[in-house]
Amino acid sequence: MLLILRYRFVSFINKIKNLKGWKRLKTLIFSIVSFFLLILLYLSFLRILKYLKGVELIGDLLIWKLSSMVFVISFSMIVVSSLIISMTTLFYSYDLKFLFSLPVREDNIFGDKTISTVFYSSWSLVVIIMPYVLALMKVNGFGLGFLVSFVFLVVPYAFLAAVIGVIFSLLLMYFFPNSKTRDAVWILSSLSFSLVYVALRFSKPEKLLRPDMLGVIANYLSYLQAPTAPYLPSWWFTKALISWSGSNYSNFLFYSFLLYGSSWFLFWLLLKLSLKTYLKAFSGSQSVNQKKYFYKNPFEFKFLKFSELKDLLAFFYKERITVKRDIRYFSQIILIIALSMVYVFSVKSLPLDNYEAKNFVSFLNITVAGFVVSAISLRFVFTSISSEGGAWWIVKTAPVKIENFLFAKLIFYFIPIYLFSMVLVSVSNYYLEADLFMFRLSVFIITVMSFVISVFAVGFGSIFPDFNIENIHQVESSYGGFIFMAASVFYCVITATIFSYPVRNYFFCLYNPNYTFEKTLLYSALLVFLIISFLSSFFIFSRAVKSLKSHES
Amino acid sequence: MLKIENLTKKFGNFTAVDSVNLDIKEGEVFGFLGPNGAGKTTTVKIISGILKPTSGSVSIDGIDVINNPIESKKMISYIPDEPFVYPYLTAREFLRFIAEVYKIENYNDKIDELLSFFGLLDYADLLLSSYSHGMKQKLLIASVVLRNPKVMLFDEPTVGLDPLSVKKFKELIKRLTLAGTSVFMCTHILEMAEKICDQVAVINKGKIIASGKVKDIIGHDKDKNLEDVFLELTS
Repeated sequence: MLLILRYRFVSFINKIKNLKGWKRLKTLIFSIVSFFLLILLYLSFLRILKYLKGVELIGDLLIWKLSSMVFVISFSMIVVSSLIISMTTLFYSYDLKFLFSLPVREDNIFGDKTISTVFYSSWSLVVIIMPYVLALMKVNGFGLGFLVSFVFLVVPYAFLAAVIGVIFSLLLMYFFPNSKTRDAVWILSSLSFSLVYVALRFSKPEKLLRPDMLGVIANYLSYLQAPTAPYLPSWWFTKALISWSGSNYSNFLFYSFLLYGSSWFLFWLLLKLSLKTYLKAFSGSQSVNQKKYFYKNPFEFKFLKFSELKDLLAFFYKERITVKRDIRYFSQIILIIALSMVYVFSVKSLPLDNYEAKNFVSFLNITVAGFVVSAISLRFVFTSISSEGGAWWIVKTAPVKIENFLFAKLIFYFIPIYLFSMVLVSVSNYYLEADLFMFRLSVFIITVMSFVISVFAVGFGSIFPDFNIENIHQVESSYGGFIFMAASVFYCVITATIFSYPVRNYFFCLYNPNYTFEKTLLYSALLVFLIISFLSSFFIFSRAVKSLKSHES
Repeated sequence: MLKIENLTKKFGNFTAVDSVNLDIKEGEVFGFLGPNGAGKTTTVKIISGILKPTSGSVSIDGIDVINNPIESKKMISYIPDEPFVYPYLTAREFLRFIAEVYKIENYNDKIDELLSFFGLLDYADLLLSSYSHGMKQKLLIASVVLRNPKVMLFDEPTVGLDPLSVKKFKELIKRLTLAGTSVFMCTHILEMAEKICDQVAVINKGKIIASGKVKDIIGHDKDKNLEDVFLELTS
């Protein structure tokens, strides 16, 4: 296994060495931007933690409660990430057939793939919680030893979280080698996970964070002191950090031992288990769907006979059929439905009891909905270009305009993205009892916004394509994905800024008869918004066409 | 029909194709031979429009491939060495998709005929993800025939095909060239090149080192075949 790991390391070093010219520059820009974002994150965490530290008597309790919640959330996010990634790394990696042909035991291959899964599913989350830990150090005045203890403990912490996903994928593939059953179980698992998520949110945990909701102060204090998910390794992780910060080294060693001991034990157990199960599970994963799909004349070919649009409609048809038959989309759509329910429920649960606050939130809601739409577009629309994969040559050698290929993608994905954003905004507005002006304005803005974000997703997906990708989730976390998210978030913020003036003017007029509603302010904002939306979409789309035309693979 | 003039392609400091000149006539089968990494795939990718040349030109029936890509692509069909297709379409759906993209009229009967010819009719409604390498290769050859192009570009077309399919492929090539289609084929199978190609060119390290009719390249020595000459030229 060490030999395989060594070659993996050598490949990584070679990849870095081969970064030249524009690729090197892009990586450098990406690293600098990421670094600044981490600094921003650090400053935000610092502000929150300073505020909590300032609360008399219970400041430290609040900080550690928040920390334990951050670690529980990160833990569960690594679990979800590993659930998605492990299926590819364990069963569909390009090198697996080669590795299985080598005189290497299957537990060694499995060990190597487990370590890859742990790395891919946890590195970004570990990087993101790093600014939190640094802010924690700064606020509490902890020394460098605290950071060292964090680095020491984060390895088994991430490992234990990621291994849950690995176990699930291994057992799923072992017990359900038949592709149809496996797909059904995969969907049911996503459904169960979503239900648990929705149920947790509907239990209104925010009540516990607000002392006024609990009535008795003693209940609040006991909540703060109680462990957060005591049986999860995230709690051992929190306790070990608390022990280190309080110089309680025996406790620190105890919890460190728990983390490392259970990691090694679990890894050892998994390797033993893999000797009995991995080969069978891998063989099962190679089985293919033998179902027959009898051809029905699709509406794209039946009703629309415009010769000029034939290629566009053919690409639309291909995309529709692919999404319809790829089971991975279904599990993620279930998760998105759960996310939307939680989103709307969270808006409904906001403690807003006056008209102004509700309308203010209704306005802010447009931007937040824009962020959510960006995240969804990153998963489905941005990746749709790279997901052409090895079949990209079909598009490249066909007598079609790249514009038509991109329009097909755009039209196909814009429809569900638009409906999703409309549901988020309209239902939220309904619960917020938004003013008719705000309702109309937010519906108009989100219509344009969802279109522009879809164009951005298709555009940046084309500017940063990777047709040799092994796992589509690597496309999401690539620098192209990062730049798309940054551009979309920036666009949402600009939109909010543009409309803040007419919206403020409107509410001033509503409550103060001395003010007059300045229609020109609203129309100017609408004009500026439309110009920015059009120009940015046009620019990104043109760049996308140019990029795909000149793309060589 | 296919004219390549002073074609050069550089990747950084590396010259993959170096001043290549070729002229393939209508109805001709042209074999493009060379060792691994000689520049065959790069050349065929430039002709098909996947890569842009650093300098030089390629034209199909007088239409420049670089300046008029859409018009020239209407006359070309290409099959790469790795038969990547859309895994969630069936064979029948894939061929209809191709027919729509290439704006072919009344294709339904022709599709069934082609699927039957390549022995894929029983598998026509299965997803392509369940197809073997050879089956995908046959499907792609069927898609090429469906388009009825003026120039066919093949990169190792018989890799993964069973002997019966190879035989059918050769017959098909004969039939199509008689109807005026030109075939440009990169191959390592010298025996096949010797039998079916009207002209061949040998490329090594990006440069054409021999070209002409097979018998002219072999020369007058009756004990030699194309393989012997190829090894002499490229070793």
